[in-house]
Amino acid sequence: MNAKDGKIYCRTGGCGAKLGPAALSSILSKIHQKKDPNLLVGFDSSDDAAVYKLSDDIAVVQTLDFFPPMVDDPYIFGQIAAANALSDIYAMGAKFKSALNIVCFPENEDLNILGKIIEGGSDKVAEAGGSLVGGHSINDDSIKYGLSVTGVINPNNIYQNNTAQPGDCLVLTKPLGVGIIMSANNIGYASNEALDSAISSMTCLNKQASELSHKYNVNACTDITGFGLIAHLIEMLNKDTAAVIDNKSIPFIKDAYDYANEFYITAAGQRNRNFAGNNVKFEIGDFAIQELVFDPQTSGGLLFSVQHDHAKKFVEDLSRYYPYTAIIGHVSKMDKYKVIVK
Amino acid sequence: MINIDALGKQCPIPLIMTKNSIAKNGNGEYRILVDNEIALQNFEKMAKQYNFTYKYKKHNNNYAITLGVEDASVVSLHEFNEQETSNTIVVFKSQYMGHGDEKLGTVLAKGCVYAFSQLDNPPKTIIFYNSGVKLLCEENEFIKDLKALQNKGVKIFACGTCLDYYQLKNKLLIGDITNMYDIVDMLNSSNKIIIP
Repeated sequence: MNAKDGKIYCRTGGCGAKLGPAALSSILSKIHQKKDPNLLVGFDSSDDAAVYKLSDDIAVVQTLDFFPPMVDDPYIFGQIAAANALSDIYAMGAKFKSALNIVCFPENEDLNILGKIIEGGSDKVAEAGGSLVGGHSINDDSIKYGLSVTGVINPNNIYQNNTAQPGDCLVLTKPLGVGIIMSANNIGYASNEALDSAISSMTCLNKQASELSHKYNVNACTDITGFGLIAHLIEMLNKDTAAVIDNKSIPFIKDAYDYANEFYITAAGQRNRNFAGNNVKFEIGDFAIQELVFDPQTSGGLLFSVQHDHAKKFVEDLSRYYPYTAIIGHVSKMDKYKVIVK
Repeated sequence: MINIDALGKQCPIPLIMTKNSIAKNGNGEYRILVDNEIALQNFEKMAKQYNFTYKYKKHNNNYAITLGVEDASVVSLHEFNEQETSNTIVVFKSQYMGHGDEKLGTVLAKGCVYAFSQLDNPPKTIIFYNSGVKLLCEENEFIKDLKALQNKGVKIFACGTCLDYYQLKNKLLIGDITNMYDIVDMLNSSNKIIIP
């Protein structure tokens, strides 16, 4: 990392810096949790945010996310980190209210860089219609930034992410492939076009998608981040449900497909593949598509499980804000595999 | 057998190093050292995709992968330099390139800068010191080539002490004036220094 040259990214920036899903679930299963009837969603489910009920019609939604930079430009990094942190709120169907900055920054580094990062975050928070209300900064060897975010929701309207129903359509709002493009960029191979596509996808808020979804019968929702499409999709399913994905309808950034075929692939993507393991069956041989469905996304799109007859209209609505939106498959009854990619 | 040491490197670097080596060296056996299982798995995918034979041995915490390549034409060369050429510094320590006839040396220096200006991946910085600074004070094609490099983001520096010594400070046409501390700092932090 070399911030002196305006270059702040590190090789494993963004959600690719997450600990692997296998590592996490083994630890979390051992943590003792106090039973509290008001804690509606905690970390015993693999949900995006915690939800704590305050009264019959108000619950607070809490989440945080921070990571090392994945792009050179500190202002863009700040925007991406904020859009990514806010995404968990939107994945729950909640309203964003306030956010606190989380900052790790080397004390001998140029403070203007930090200024730009926070400005980027602050601008995204403003765009999202919430308030930045404070934060905490520590001196650290490398730059990391993110937000702790609070939202509110009516406890009856929470989108949990493991309640997809057989027959539902699966709707994805953003293209896959930003992890692969960032990986190609780290070795100086990403085209400016590819980088621009990835950045515009990562800085785009999931706010509109979340708000629009309330008009439709959505049974489950999650956001696609570091664990990639397949692992997040598996989280959406329970022991009775499975998913069938149509590889031809998966939205992705075109360059990412080409880069995957050139093996600009990440360790995080392979960790995601290992996590999914035998739960996934590929009925297609397309290597690049396989890589894309495991590609770790930073500030990825929302994945909705929506009632079948609502899906078409929902996609039309979403496409006004998210041009890549597509029905990528459907939910079925659990048979042999959690996910089949056809 | 061609050996590739990718220890301590994160994917995709070991994969790209290997692809580049195969593109350059053609068919044969390649032995790649990696230090993590994830990289090993990525190589397994690559072998399958390109129809290379694949086997590996575990040594302590490292893996030695052997790839058998029978058709290297499936792999294309990547314009990727591990040393990151963006950190390269070119130093002109005099107004001449090489030792010998001075007229020839001047022609060569100018030709050299022109050639650098044509690179897709130019150096990050060019430093001129001692009589090298004289090159920056004459209006000619050479200055145009340097301007083209500047437009590509290349930083050009002239030694301030040297400009003073040759009484050229007000004749400087291009480049920022710098001092010994900054020059030493730049040289010390570079991983490649070219002295034409």
